[in-house]
Amino acid sequence: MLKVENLVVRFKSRVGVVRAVDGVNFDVVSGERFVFVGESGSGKTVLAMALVRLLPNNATVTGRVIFDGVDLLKLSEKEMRKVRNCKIAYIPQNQASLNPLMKVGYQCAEPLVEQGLERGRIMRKVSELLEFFGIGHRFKDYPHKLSGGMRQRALLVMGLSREPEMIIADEPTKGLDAVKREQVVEAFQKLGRRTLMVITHDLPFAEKVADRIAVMYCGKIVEISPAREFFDCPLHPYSKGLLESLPERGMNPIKGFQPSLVNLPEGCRFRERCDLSTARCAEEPPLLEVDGSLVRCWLYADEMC
Amino acid sequence: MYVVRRAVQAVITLLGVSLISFSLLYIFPGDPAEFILSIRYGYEPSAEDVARLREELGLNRPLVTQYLDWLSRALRGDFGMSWTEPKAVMPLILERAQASAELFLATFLISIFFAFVLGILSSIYRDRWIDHLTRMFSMLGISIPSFWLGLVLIWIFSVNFHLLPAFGCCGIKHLVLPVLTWSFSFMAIKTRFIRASVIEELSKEYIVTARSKGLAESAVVLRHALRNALIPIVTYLSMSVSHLIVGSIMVEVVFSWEGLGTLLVKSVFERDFPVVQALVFLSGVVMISVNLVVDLLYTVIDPRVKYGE
Repeated sequence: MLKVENLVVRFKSRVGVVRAVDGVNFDVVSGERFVFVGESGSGKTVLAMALVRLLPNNATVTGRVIFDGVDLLKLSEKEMRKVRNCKIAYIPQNQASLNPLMKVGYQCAEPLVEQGLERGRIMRKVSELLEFFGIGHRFKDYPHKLSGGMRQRALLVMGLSREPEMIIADEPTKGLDAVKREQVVEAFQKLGRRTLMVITHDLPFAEKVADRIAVMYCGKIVEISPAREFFDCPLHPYSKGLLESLPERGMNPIKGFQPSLVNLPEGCRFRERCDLSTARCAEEPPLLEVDGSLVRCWLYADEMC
Repeated sequence: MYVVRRAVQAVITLLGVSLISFSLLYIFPGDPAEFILSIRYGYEPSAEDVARLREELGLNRPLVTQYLDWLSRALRGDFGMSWTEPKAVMPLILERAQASAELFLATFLISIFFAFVLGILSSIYRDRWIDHLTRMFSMLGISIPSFWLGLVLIWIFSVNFHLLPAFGCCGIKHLVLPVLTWSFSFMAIKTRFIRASVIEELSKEYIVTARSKGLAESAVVLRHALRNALIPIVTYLSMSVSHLIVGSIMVEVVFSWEGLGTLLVKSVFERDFPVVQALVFLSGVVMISVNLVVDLLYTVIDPRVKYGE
């Protein structure tokens, strides 16, 4: 359904060119729930926004984003607006993503108004969806009266109401406490078999919703695995590090920091933080196929031979 | 609660303004009675005359009593007699106020209209030719002094082409040049401010949400950014209402417009203190009322204000 080929996003900044997304390839099949994980600053959000072309003007995006056979990067702005409106619903991060001066119900209805639906039908549809996610009584409230969890659900309603072919949700559990996170998980489980791409650094959340997991590190995908395999036996040393840093898995954070995206090290970008690195890691590893997973690490190169 | 608190603050500020207006007379060196008599006679008055007038005007009473007396009369619209004309101050001001209001309202409405149109177009089409043109236009408006522009316009339209009157008051024809002159600078700064405020809003996160819905840029600006930008814009516009009384001095003088601006200039030069006091006090009153109205407007524009604190 969605096929991304060699996607590169560069930002011009005062310190130099930032390669926020650097040659990303993946595809999302119809009905799948594809989850991107990784630290803040690994380029996940930029990647998601690049897909629907919502990045600011100082970003240059190259590569191909094929959706239903059409390269989205080649569409005119007007055609792209149609895609955003009724094909791919991008759901932004929650804190300040609602217009503070517009009633929640109306904000949720806006994409449908844009689609030109009849007013009564819009109201019915939005009310039903808000009701479905337990915030039906909030239709006429302004966003500042809603909790973070409610706002996230309102954003979900905004995405769902237009019945898109695909939903891209950016950090849906960001800044929420445990109870509200649970509400969002529930909300996502209510989505049914919809094609979904989720960006998150919340691994327990990812475990609950994902069919497949992709791990981003410094603008590159380092692993793509089916969710069960990923959580049972992650392949990439970085994936292992991410999982081991969870409290319930020993809380061993990965040593060191992510390198700056302006001066990336040659070769494997995780090399300097990796306990298993060898001389070979000075060379950029390719994305290798291992038992139905893809992993970007030299450790698995030998197994192939 | 919010409304009550703002109203109380307005009253307190008004008292401050009245105190300043009242003390104008005493800040200047010399005796007010001596002033009046020297203006009236044209020569140094005798000591007895001064003493008699002091008694007559109640200048021998304690300052506090004088202030309270002045304030209670001022609140009823009585600012005493002018020192230079055989008229009461209030009718004198009202007579001029209409001419000033005409000039101000015409300028205000025209400027605000064009400032919004240009500011919004500029922010929708950022960095395109319409934006560059608007910015150049406002730069000119800010840089060109209005007395110069006024004189140039008089020279072109009145002296060379005899199309419009160069000065004088009242009637559409007389309004054209002063309004044109004043609007040019008046709208320039406002256009820039509106553009900047809207663009500032366009960098907020909810704008990404609006765009993700597939809205056209014009809908994003008009429906989302503009309404949020109105909060600083309304504040800014409200401040310019003070021009209703004093801001038009430059334009009024250039075009010999018989309004409050020229009255203020004349009264200051002739030391007609009751008129100056009244004008200072009244412009304070206008400012405070406008501020109060704007504060109440916020509660309409921004649903969060009511719950503030």
